[in-house]
Amino acid sequence: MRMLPVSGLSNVTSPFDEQALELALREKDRRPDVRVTAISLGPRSSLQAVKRTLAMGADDGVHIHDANARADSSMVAAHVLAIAIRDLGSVDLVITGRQAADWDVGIVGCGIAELLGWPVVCIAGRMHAEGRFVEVDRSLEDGSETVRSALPCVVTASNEVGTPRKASLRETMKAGKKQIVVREVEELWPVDDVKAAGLSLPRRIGLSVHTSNVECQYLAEDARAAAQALFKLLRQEGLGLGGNHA
Amino acid sequence: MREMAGFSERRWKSGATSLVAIESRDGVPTSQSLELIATAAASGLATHAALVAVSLHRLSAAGHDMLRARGCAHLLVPDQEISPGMHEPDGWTHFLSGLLTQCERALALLPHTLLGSEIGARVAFRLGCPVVMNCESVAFSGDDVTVSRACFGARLKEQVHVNAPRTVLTIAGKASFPAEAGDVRVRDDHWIVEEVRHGLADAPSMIESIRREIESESLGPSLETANVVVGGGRGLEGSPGFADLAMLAVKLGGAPGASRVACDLGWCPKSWQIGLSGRSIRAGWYIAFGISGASHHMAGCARVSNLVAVNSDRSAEIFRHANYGVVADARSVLRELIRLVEEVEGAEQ
Repeated sequence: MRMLPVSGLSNVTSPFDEQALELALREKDRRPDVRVTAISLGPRSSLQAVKRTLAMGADDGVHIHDANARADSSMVAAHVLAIAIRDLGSVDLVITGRQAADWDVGIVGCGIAELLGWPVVCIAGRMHAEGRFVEVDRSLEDGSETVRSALPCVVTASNEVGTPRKASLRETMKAGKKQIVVREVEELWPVDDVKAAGLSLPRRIGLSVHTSNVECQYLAEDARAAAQALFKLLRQEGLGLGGNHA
Repeated sequence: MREMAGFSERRWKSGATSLVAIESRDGVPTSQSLELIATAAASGLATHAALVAVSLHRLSAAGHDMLRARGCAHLLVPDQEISPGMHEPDGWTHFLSGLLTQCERALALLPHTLLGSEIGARVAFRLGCPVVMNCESVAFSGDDVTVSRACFGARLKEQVHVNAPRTVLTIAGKASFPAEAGDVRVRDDHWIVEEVRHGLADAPSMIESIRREIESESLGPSLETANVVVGGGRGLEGSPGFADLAMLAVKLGGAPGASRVACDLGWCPKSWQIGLSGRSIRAGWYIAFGISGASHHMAGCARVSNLVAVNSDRSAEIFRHANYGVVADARSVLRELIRLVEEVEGAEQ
C-alpha cells in the first residue's frame, strides 16, 4: 500500500520537530558561534517548512526532495537523513523530534544515531553543550534524569522543551538571504540500495479510520450534586474508593 | 556462567524464539512488562516459539515468581551487575542486540514505554531488522507477523505485515494477542534463570547518567499504565487546583495528567502533558477537569475506555467525546469529590 499526497494540502511541521529546533536555537542564543542547519525530507511542500525554520532563526537549510514518497518508511527516512548528515560534515549534534505527529513511529532519531554510530539521548527537555560534551535533562516515565554525552551525538526533543518561538520579523527579513540546498532523495538513496542494504521493511497493508460513537450522559449540574453522582459512579466501578486505595 | 553461544546452540538452534524485555524497579517487573509476558505466554506465540524473558537487572525472588505465574519458564540476565552510572538504554540495546544475533529466528517484544521504544528502535537499526512500534494487536502465522497500530493521533488504525528472520515489536498496554486457553503457571522444576555474557565492557557507553530523580507521584502508576487518570486544564485556574488534582489522583490510585496549556502556564510539571505533543493514556477511566477537548489533547486519550468531562462550558468540544458529562465549575466539583472521598476514608479509619 502506498500513501499518495493529497493535492492542495500543504504539510505542517510536526510539533516535536519545532521543539527540536527550539532546543537548537537556545544553544545558538547562548553561543553565537553555534550554527543551526534545518533539514527536512519530504515532498515539495516540505520546502516551506524549511523556510519557516529560517524565519525562526536557523542559519541555513537542506530540503531532501522526495517527490515519489520513496522514504515513506521511517526506516528508509532514517537512512536517507543519516547519509545527508554525514555529507554535511563536521556536525556535532543532531536534534530530532521524539516522533512524527502523523505516523507516530518515533524511530528516526534513534535510527540516525545507530547508523552514524553516535550515542543518542531521547526525550530531552533541556540541553547544554560545552566543549566536547552535552548535558541533557530527559524525562523518564517515573521521573527525570540528567545525562552527559560525548559529542557528536543525537538528541530527541520532547514536549518538556516548552513552547517553541514564533518567527520574528527580524529573522523573517533575514531568511530570504539564507541558503537552502535542495537534494533529491534518489541521489542520496539510489533505488537499488533498499535491496542492496538488505533491509526488510514492515509493509503497510491496511489503513482505516478509528470511529467512536459516544453519547454523553450528563450528570447533575450543581457542583455538589454532580460530585455525588460522580462519586457514586466511581464507587460502582470500584475505583480505589471505599478502602481499596492503591 | 554460560556463554550466549552456548544457550543458543542448546535451546534455540533450530527453533524460533520470542525474547520479551522485562523492565523492572527494585527487582520487580513493571506492570506493563508483566502484562506483556502474560499476554504473550497465553497466546499462540508460546507454542510457535520459545518464550524467553530478558532483564538487564537481576530480579528478586518475588519478581521470578511473578514471571512464572504468567507462564514464563526462562529468564536471561547479564552475568555482571550494571553500574549505576551506566545509561540504561545503552546497556539494554547492547544486551538485547547480542541475544537476538544468537537466535536463528527471533521476535523481540518490548513494552511500548519510553525505555522500551528507544531500545526497540536502536536494536532494529543496529541489526538491520524491521521494527513496528506501539502494536495494539499481534497475529502470527509461521514467520508472518501482522500487527495493528494507532497513528495520526489515534484517529487511524494501520495494519502492518512483517516477514523477516528477526523482528522487533514494541507492544502497547492492553494489546491483544490471539488467546489460547489453559493454565500457564510454570512448575518449579521447569523454571530456569540463566546468566549470559553481557559484554558491555567491550563497547563502553559514551553517555553517563549523572543524576536520576524519581518523582514522588511515581509511587503511583505512570500515565501510560494507570487505570485511572485525573486530568486538569485551564478550568482549574492555577497551581492550587493542580495540587487538588494530584491529591485526588493519589486517592483514586491513579495518575495526574494535564492539557498542554496548563503545562505551558507552569501550573503542573510538563511531564503531565497528555496529547499529540505529550503522552498517550489508555486508562479505564479518565476524569478531565476544566479541559476543553482540543483535538491535540484528545489525540492522547483516544484509547480511554470511559471519559468523564467536567467543564462549565456546555459547548466544550470534550463533551462530544465523553461518556459522562458534568456542566459545572471544575474546581468546585473537584473539591467536592475530594471531600466525599475523605469522608469515606474518615469513616473507615
